[in-house]
Amino acid sequence: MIQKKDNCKTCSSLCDGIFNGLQEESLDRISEHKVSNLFKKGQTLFMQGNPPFGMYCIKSGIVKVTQVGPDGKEFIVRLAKPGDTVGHRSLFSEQSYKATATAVQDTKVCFYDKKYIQKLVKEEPSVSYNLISALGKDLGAAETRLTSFSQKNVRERLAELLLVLKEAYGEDQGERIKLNIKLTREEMASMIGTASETLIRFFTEFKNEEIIEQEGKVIFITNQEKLIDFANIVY
Amino acid sequence: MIRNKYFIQLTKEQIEFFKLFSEVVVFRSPTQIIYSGQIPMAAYLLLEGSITLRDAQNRKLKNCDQGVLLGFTEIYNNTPYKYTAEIHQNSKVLILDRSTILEINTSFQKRPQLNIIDLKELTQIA
Repeated sequence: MIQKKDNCKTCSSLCDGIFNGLQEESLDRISEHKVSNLFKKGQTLFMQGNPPFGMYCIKSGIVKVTQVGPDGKEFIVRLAKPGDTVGHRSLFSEQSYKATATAVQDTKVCFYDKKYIQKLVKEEPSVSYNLISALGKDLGAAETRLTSFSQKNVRERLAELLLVLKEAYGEDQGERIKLNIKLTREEMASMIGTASETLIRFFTEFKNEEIIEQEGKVIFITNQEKLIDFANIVY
Repeated sequence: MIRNKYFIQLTKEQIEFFKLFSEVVVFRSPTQIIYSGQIPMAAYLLLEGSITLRDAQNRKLKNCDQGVLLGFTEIYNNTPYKYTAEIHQNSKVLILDRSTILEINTSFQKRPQLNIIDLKELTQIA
């Protein structure tokens, strides 16, 4: 069975991705070379410690990027949404993968091999620019998290996480904002560096304060102003 | 060269040929490198260590040793894998991605005398 390839030109994530700004002919060539696959929930794109051999562009779904520390505990470094890339940092640093990428839900991903990306970076200035921009944003987010971990308490970090999730996965429903992402308590606790029990305690507090609501695993933000207050955000 | 339903076993001479096109890499963590049903992102030539093949129901099919080439036929023909493959810790492989396979193709066209491998045979769907 020969598989038909998805064209980057019609990708709904094109304007958020690293190929934004390319001519149609370039997008056709890239589409011809790439490999599109569906990773089922729980399947890994790459593993911490292994050699990088390409870059992945998220077309739909969510990928979590995690690191396992010396104590064996998993820490979520970031979540990648449609239009985001994963695996690009190791590709250019010539280091092994510093983290593992796993599909949080069924996720469609396009893969570009290392030699091809290196060629594109030399030939297409907009790809280089978009990649530098992506790396810059990643670095900025990492610096913000570092500050949060050293200066904020768990309540503030949880409020900040909910605001970050709102930016990426929020759906405005008028009275409230639905977070279109289902994370387990363990995953959320890992993202803010706390224990699940502590996270649950603060979740209850947020619900009592009428900042959030929950329906099953779905979280809704009902009072964004108060959440910003709780997050102690300094601009 | 020995060929079966899942992989191709290469000779030492053929392995050396592929080394001209790709670097040897070590997988420090055990990893699923191939998922059944997916379009190949690369072919893998195992140099040291082992790879276990499983079917879609997670039943063990084969254990691969040194000299096994996995996924070459599939990547060349853009057809999905029919098995899942897990590479074991500290195994050494050559990763043959699409760009590398295009290089191999070009080199075959430019210098047919290099042709120690029957590319047609390698890429034939079993």
